[in-house]
Amino acid sequence: MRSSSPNYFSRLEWLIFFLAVGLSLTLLFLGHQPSAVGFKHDTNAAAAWAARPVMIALRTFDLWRENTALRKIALRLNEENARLRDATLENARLRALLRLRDAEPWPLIAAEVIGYPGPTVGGLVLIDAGDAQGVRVNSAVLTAEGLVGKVVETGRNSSLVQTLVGNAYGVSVMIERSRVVGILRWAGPGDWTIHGLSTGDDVRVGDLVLTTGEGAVFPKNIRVGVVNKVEPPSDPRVGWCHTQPFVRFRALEEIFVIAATDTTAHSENQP
Amino acid sequence: MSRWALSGIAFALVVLDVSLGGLLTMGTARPSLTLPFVVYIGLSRSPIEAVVFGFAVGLCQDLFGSLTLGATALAYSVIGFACAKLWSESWIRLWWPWGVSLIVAGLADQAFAHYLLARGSGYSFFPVFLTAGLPSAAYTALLGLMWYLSPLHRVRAS
Repeated sequence: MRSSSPNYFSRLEWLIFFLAVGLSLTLLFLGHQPSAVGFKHDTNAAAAWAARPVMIALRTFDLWRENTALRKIALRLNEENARLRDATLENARLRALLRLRDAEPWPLIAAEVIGYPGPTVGGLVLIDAGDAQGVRVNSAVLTAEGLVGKVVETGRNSSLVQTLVGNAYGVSVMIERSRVVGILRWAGPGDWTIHGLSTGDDVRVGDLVLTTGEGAVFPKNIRVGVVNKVEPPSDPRVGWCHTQPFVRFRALEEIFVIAATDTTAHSENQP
Repeated sequence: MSRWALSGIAFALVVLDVSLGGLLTMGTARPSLTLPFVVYIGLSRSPIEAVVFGFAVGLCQDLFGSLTLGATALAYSVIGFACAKLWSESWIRLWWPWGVSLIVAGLADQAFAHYLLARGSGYSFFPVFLTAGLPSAAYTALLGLMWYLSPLHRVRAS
């Protein structure tokens, strides 16, 4: 009988193999089509739904430890709050004297990280908020610690965030103390450098690094990190000021996306 | 194990890989939870099943992950088929099929993923492959070896 012949099975195996390879290659070449991208966004939303129980179970283990830590933080914040209330009142009086306009607060969308797709050097995270919640491509993403990155793809209920890991873009930053401006770039695993600094610029280890607000993505004065190493500058094109971001990109849980509004359209996206 | 059970395990592994993969990351090494499954199917089932499962798992991984549609499906189809064919028909008899297949498949998968990443983002392939791809392949192999110790693991006798 033909179907029981080993030769027939061998041919069938190769046929199915080439069919799978051909189908994969076709998808690979057509993967950037808008319809394919849209379909992928929809499945990302499905992934968000499917992964939610796993993430909830994981976080339940951390709740008690987190609660204790939060109580201590709340106590410290209460003291700080009292000091800041005085400072705010004083600031308001001085701004009124100088006729300065108050800065608008950023409209924030809370979201949870539901996945870390792709290789580590890709630096991508999947979050459970998308178009329906007001997230847009290029929306800035941050945590209480500091800047995380920006949204690069949105689906209906999920979005893909490109963190500062990976050299997909640079962030216009300044040194808080000396107001020196440069472009922060990923230089390799665990290493970020600020490019565009002159050799005589005043930068020291321990300086705080903030966003400048130039461009159209990141608002001004978001904490980014701290200068952790300053090398003697040799080539001005090479970053000599090394920076350690505040955010631990592989341990992200809750994040905030700055909703796109007319008033927040100030920052950058350096190619 | 029935095909339905295998399909359920495959889907669970894809979801776990997307949701937990990042949390299991150590340094630059990110393990794949689905690759050992594809190698297991290749070594324990027929080439046809290996291709079908490899393609399906890879496609799901592409749909939920960040690589272009078809990239992981292509890699896993080839890996599943190669494992099954080499193990069942080739004159090559590996001393330790599970471990050797895992390491070779891990390296091939990481090389392909980082090649695509390098082409798409302007990274230089070799430094990134050496710093992230190789450790990830080793990590995946280590995780896979834990499965080797579990009762689920059965490589068919040749």
